[in-house]
Amino acid sequence: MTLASRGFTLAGKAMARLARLLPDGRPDPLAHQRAELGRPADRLDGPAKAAGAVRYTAEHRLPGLVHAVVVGSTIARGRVTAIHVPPAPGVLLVMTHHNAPAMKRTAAYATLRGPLGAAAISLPVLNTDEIFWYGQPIAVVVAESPEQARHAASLIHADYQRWPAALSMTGQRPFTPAHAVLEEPVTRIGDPRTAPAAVTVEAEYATPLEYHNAMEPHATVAHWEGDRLTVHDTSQYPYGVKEMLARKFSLAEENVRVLAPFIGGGFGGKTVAWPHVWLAVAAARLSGRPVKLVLSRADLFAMTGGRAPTRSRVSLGADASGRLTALEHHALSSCSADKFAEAAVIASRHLYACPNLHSAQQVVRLDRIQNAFFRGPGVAPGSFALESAMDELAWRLGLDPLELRLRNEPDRDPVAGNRFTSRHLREAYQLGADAFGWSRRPPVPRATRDGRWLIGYGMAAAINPDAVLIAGVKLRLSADGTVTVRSSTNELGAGTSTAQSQATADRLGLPLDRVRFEQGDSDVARTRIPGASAATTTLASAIWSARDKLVRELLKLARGTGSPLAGLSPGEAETRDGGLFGPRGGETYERILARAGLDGVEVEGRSALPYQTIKRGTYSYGAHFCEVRVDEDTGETRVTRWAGAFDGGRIVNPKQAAGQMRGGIIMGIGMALTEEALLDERTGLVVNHSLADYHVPTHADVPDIDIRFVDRPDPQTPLGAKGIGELGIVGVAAAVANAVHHATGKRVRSLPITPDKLMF
Amino acid sequence: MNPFSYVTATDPAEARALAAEGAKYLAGGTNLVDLMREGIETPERLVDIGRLPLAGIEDLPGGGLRIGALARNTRVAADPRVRDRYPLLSEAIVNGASPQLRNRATVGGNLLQRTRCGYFYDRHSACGKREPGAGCDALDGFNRMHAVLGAGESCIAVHPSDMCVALAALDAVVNIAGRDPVPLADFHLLPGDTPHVETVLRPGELVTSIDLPPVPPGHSVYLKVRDRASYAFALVSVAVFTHLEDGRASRVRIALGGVAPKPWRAYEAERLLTGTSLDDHLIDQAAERALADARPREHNAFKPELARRLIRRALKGACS
Repeated sequence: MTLASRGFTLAGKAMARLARLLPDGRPDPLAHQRAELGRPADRLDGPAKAAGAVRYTAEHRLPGLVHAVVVGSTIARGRVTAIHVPPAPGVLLVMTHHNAPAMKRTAAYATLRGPLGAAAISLPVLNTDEIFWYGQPIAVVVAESPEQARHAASLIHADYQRWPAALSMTGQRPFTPAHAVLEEPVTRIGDPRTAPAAVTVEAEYATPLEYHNAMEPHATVAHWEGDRLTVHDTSQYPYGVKEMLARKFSLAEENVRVLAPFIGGGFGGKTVAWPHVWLAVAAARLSGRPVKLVLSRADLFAMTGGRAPTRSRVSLGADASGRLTALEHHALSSCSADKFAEAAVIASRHLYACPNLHSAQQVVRLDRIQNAFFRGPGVAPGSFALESAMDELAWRLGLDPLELRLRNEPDRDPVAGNRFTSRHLREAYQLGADAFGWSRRPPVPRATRDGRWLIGYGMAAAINPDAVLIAGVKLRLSADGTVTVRSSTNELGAGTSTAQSQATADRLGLPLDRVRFEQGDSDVARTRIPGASAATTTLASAIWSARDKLVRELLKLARGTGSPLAGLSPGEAETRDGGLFGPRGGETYERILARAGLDGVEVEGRSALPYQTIKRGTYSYGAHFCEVRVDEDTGETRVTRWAGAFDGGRIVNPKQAAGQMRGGIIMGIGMALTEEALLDERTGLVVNHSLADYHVPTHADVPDIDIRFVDRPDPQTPLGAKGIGELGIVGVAAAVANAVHHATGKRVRSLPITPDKLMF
Repeated sequence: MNPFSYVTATDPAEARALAAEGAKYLAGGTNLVDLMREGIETPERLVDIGRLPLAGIEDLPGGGLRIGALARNTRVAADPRVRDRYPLLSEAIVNGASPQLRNRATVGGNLLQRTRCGYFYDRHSACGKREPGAGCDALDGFNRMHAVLGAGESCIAVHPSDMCVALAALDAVVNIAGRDPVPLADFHLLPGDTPHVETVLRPGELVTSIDLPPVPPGHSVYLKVRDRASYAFALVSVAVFTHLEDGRASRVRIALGGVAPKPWRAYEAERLLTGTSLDDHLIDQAAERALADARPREHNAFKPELARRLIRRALKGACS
């Protein structure tokens, strides 16, 4: 372990001790309310999206707009010794390390130096001749049309001095990173090696390099007016991009505005700014024109990061009744120079009661582009290992895999020893098992056949850490009694704007059609929600605080008037029925403002410190049950049925939540059966860099998916909700692999489960 | 994509006159435009042949069918005569690509579809198809999708078409303007030392139609194994046609896809079965024979066995 990581571990332990002194979270009075909250409202952005009326980043047109294309390196490590730029029509600028403006190095995200920075990479891209990964930008071409830019880019070639590159995980020396996505890299309780066990299993599991492949490619439109910079960007984190660009180009923060109201899918790949973002800004400065830069699908595999491959060694020991006595999970993944590492061991720390637990995350450093957060970072690939191993243990014990899990359900966090703020995984198991018909599962493998198809059932648990991050909102009550909430977050497609409109309506006692939610403007307030399934609760917390401020402002207006609200204290006031009410009656918002002669009142709200997640563990949970069919001769696997049940606390909008869980499960089916980026370790090229060759599931690969929710409020979170954005994918790959084993008797421990792995 | 000029032809003679050196015919564009975007194809001129009167499907005297080179894949697969007399072709087509692609793609274009080898598609990798003599990065690279039959050290890419596998099993004939027809089985070439020469077509020559000779009533089946349920190229596919007379197979056709640089006819396996009653033992032998010369590489060692299993399944299905 490095000195830094030891320091981080010690700091983490000190924090945990201090956290016990913190108060609990405040119970949200809205957690049990059933008006807008809990209603399966249609998406408010649906009609505009269906009509094509929503404008995405790459669709912005500005007067004088020109187009940029990035040229990537064709070596993984070395230096550029010369760049050859043949003349081409329409070209306005070719920016290389010779003429690019100096851009300050900024800390990469999720490192100790910049825990929430927006830059993906701290490397001085295009301010150096040094090459750190295959596909690193070595030139940016700006031309009048996108076609001219792409053609000119295709003509550019470089001479290199090649250095040896580390591209294979085998052969590199593993080390323990300073931290692993803000978890400690190593935890140890008791001693799994000496713990008595009647039954043990030990195996190694592997997941490959994967890419997010959001439908919308990354794009940036940069526009300078003097020293003022406006950027439209496909960012999940507009405020972070604003901060980062201000630093990179030495600008006052108020001179940088980043706009990203609508994102066509992110999945973590847009939590950070990849180098093309600041290169587009630099190219706009150098060319004196607004610049649009859209990455091609192939570019995405070279100029943005994916999910790091993982290797997990899991050992489990249990007594004869199936109670875990030992759990070890050693995970290895890859990182780059910035040492970003996901914790594939998260699930192993929090899912099962076990007195002897050792989990350790290690990494090898490769000459690759930085890995990115990816839906369920760490926990999704790590859960494939743990939940496969649990299935193997169940077989060894002769126990139903569901029963094994029920016997190991903890009442306290196995690592921290705290009580959870809420944990209803037992209920989720029951809901899911009933919906699926798990009790009809034959106890032995290869028991069910339909012609050439072997049929099997599999299940797995899901867990995802809940995070409340930092957000600010501006809330304006207008004289007509309508409310507009503005935020720096954006609509990824998950339904944030609809859910927050519902939350605002209930918070203020208004019908939904009197609430407007505007988003995606970095300048509204400091807001740090790049991802982490945190938007629903964090924004709800900020809106709650804005509501309290609004009440105080309105009471001030009522002071000294004949209003029944005059002299009321904020604690006595209720926001309901379109206005403010106290024991002596109330008034509508319109009336309060009319009397004061105001057009409106604007207040700011800030999210509260998430005491509950610091003090105790808050997690979302789930249980997946699935049926697969495997063709015995050809090894083809088809998922034919799915039931998933989830504890996400209070469900704000069941329709959207079910859609979100379905999306996660579909992505998990891709992870289980088809997705794998083929990294040629001789060069660093991802060979299958297209959607024809990198296989995400098609409609034909997706079965009917039955989604259920426990829907019980967490007593300490805003709205009683827990983050569910990433929960759906966790455990999916293991459920499929376990079903494949049940169908065939074959255990596949390396994803994806392609036909060739089941043929022999 | 390089700058290019675009012209439209109204009849085949004009098209050929316009197709000078460095020109390409544009039909559905599903493959050519994709390759141009990636900088793999860099034609100086596109001759749009979309308006040529070559989209029809006509009966031939004697019971055969002539399919115009510009007939869209969707239309061919749905044509009642094709579905009735050549269901194998219909099945193979709908097993390929996606509905959107099939709506655009033409029969002539499908014949000339180029490989999906990732190294062919990457301008910076070594590929003898793009640059004669450059070598082949797939030999020791990712070659799970690659050929086990008919390939050599110059190139191990496979021909990606599903349609052509069925056409090979149906003894289809390719009609080319101004020259004798070429049997489909001879239309595509093995790489040898010239992997960039993929068909017998010479620069500027134009495929006008494909003839399907009459076939006796029989059993046919197209089986395709791929990595996902739809929109994926074959790991292995097989097209089988059998016609039995008095319990004996008087005609046996076996064609394989996903295993060779061209739609692959298993002639020896066919000969072994012709005149027999197609019993299981002989089918097993034929499957062995069809893959006897297979030379797998690091990642595609499963293909010969997968092909054998598919051949057995297809033939046993065909005689049941």
